[in-house]
Amino acid sequence: MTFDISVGGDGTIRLAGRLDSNQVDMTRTVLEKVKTNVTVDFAELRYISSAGLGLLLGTQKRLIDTGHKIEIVNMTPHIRDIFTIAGFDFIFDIK
Amino acid sequence: MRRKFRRDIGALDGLFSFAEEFETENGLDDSESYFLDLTLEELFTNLVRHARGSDDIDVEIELDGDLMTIRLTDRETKPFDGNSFREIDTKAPLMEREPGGLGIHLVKMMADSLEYDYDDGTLVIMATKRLEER
Repeated sequence: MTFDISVGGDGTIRLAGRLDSNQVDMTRTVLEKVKTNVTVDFAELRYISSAGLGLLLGTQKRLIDTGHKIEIVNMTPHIRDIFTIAGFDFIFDIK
Repeated sequence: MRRKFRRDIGALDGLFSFAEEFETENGLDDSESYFLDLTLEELFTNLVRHARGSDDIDVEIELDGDLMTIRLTDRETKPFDGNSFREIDTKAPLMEREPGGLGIHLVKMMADSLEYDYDDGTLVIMATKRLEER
């Protein structure tokens, strides 16, 4: 399973495939450019480990500092479970 | 199934392929496969970053009845206390959160057991999980 990250015309970031420790640098490059509210679409994301969670956490903290935040949409049940176990379900806006 | 992997985060792709072989051979469902992949990644990357052994890392996955055992063996490491990982407060507010220890927290919560054994330079980490009735 490969990984892909893309940014749509409306600024939505789409993650697809497997976000593991090998893919964190590519993802960080995209997330570092985010300066305002952003939607991250998880519809095609099949796997995330603590490496990806840590990256999202750092980005959320940086954005909250400036009055902005990440909104996550279309999360699959397995990844929802991971967010719940990590206690991330109430520090991210999940729709 | 047993295989050695070089001590490098770049070895993860091979580790996932190894897991996929096991998952296919043993008919693991999506949830069980996610657990296996996550456990292997979190334990392996922790060994690469913290244990500082001098050899390849030995990875073994077994299924005995419905009990899956995942065992990582690292040789010639410095003394290592698996209980030294800090506990995660999953209720803490955002600005008090730090990513350190999150991976081990996930494995601890999802596995039935997680044990570390260090003896004479060899570190063995073993996680078990009882799978759905096959």
